[in-house]
Amino acid sequence: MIRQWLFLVGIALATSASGREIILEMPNHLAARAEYLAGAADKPAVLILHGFLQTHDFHTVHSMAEGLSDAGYTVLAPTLTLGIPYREQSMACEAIHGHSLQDDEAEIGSWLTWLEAKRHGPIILVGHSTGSMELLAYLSHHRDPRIVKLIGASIIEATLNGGEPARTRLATDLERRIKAHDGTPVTHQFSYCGRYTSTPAGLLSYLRWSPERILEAARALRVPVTFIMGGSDDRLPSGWTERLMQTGKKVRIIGGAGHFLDGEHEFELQDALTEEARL
Amino acid sequence: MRWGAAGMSRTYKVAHLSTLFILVVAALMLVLGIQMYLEMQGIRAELGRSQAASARREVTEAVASVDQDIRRRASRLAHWDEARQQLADRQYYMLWRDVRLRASGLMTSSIDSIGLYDRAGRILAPDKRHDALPAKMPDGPGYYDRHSTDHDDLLFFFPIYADPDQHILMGYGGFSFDLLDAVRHIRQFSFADPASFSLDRLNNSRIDMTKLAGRLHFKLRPQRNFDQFLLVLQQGFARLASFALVILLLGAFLVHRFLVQPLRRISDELKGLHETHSFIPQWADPAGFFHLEELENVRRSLHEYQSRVTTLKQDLERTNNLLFEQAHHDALSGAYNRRAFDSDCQRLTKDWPFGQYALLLFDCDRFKAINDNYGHAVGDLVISTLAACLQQALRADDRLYRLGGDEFATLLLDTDREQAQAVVERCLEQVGKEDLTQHGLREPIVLSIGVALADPDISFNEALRHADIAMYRAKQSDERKVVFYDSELETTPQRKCG
Repeated sequence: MIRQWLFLVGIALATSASGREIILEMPNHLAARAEYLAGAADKPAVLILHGFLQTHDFHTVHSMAEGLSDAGYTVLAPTLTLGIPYREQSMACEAIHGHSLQDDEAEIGSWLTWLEAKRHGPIILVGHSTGSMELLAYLSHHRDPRIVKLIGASIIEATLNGGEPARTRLATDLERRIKAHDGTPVTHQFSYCGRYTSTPAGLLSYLRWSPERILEAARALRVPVTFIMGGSDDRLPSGWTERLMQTGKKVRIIGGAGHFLDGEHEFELQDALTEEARL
Repeated sequence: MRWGAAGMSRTYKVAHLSTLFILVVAALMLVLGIQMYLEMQGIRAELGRSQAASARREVTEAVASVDQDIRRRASRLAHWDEARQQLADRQYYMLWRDVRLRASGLMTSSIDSIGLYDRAGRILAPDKRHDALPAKMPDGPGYYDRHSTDHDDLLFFFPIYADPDQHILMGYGGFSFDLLDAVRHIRQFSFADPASFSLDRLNNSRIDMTKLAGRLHFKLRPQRNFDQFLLVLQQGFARLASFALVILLLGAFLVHRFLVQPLRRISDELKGLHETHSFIPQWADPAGFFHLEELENVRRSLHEYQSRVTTLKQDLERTNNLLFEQAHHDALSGAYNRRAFDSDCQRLTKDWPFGQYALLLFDCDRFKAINDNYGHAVGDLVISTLAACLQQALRADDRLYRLGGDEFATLLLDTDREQAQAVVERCLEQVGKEDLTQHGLREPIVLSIGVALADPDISFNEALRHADIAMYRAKQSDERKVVFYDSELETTPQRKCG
């Protein structure tokens, strides 16, 4: 099977100059898809990561990729496998989720390796929603000198109703299950999912990235960070944008835009991205 | 029916014709009914053939639709990320199968089990609750018949590839479904009866779905609408036939009552009229009403015609009687003339119904001299007076004949000598009473009478001769003016009848 993956990777590489889809085998041995838009060699490459359970075909991601590509940037927008080879569809909340943040970070690392192999030079990471959180997590765990900037659009943790107390209780329960080697999937409200079914370890991996940890990681991050937030994002907890500002990182607010920064604010997002990508 | 007297043309009775008409109409209706029934049967048979073809087409299309539906669902499963997720990591396969797969909408009432198989064809996890899928996939993708004591389903296996270009086989999906139930529910059937579907099974063999419809057996759905239509048609025809029969019977009754009976009555009465020469009566119908105007006109015309004929007949009879009277009576005396005497003589001679009789001849003495001396007017008066006297003296049924000139005769039937003598004397007495002096006759009227008594043993002519002889003798005598024939008188010439 590995040989088949390699065969496909070869095909993807061979057709990357003209094609737009990249197939790459991930550390979990599953093939992952990405959209690759080659840009100018003197400009940094941009890796754009989608939000929770989405794909690179999500319209916000697609808009950001298009704007950056039009500005001459090389863009790579991968789709995390979430345990599914050639994943093409947004994963349903009710599906049995066996993936974890660590798996996602590993896949991000694989794509960065692939980008580095393309000798694109500096790399800018752009994320949307929890994708921004995952890139932040990745940067917190991996020091890569080629990554020169993180742009987090609508950055948000995987929310849990009940706030920190609920998060703490659920985390404790999940830790107990893991400790007891109980891998039975649990179903819980998580992020935008009313019923999210996941392995305890997988859920806990995302759960650990609470708002406080995001702010802390942002503050600790050495690479430049810019947050682009919607002025009317009703998915954000109250005061979240202000707390981001308190991290000392740059926060750009697109007035009137929602969580997905779409519609009439799509071009403002693209302008903001190109401005922030300019090193 | 009988042959006309005038020639070869045939005559018919109205009753027979009307009965024949009713029978012909009834026969036509019967033929029409039979033809209609046969046509209905033909239509039913044709419809049955058409229905069978349509039903076969329905079933074939339904099987094709099931095939398409199964393949469409298989494609959905094969392109479902979560299916590939399970093939990549089967750790939570059973949970996924029992929860996610059942909630996916891929299963139907006909598809009772869906499962995933690895690339080696081994099921990821057997479904102990729905043991419809085999643990090991048969030979490659496709349809299989799984027929056993525990299972009576079709199986469908299809590949699931990792990549969109279908280069990397990850495993297989498998459906277990009830074909007959799927066929029943895939569409509405207008001709085939879904409840009757049955399938020739091929135990655990690969199936070509394009040929499966040929192994699916069914019965035709009852065509209630057409049967109802036929029933309504038959009932309508039966009502029409009954109505026509009633109309026929009513018509027959009316024809019989108002045409046949009156015509028969006219016919019978005309026949009776012909045989008895009676008179057509003014009919007194017991019903008293509701006659056909035309027949009434015929009857009235016949009656008027008969009235005129009767009147003419009576006139003719009166004329005949008058002529007869004129031909058989003497205009002067009023007595029967010589023609009447000869006629009576012949009739009596031909068939003599009487016994003894007396033939009397009267002659007026010196009539020629009276006629010459006093003139014809007095002579005629003498004749008429003489006739009146004799007629008055004779009995009621006795006839007086004037044979010519002054000669009279009478015939006294069933009369003996004494009776004849009495009549003779009355005659002489009546004549003797007459006095014609006022008319210029200055002499008495003298009458000579010859009497012949006869019986059927002698001929009438012989009797007449005897009377003539006797009258001649009386005329020759001045004292003896009445002479009864006696054979001794046979000296005078004979006179003959007619």
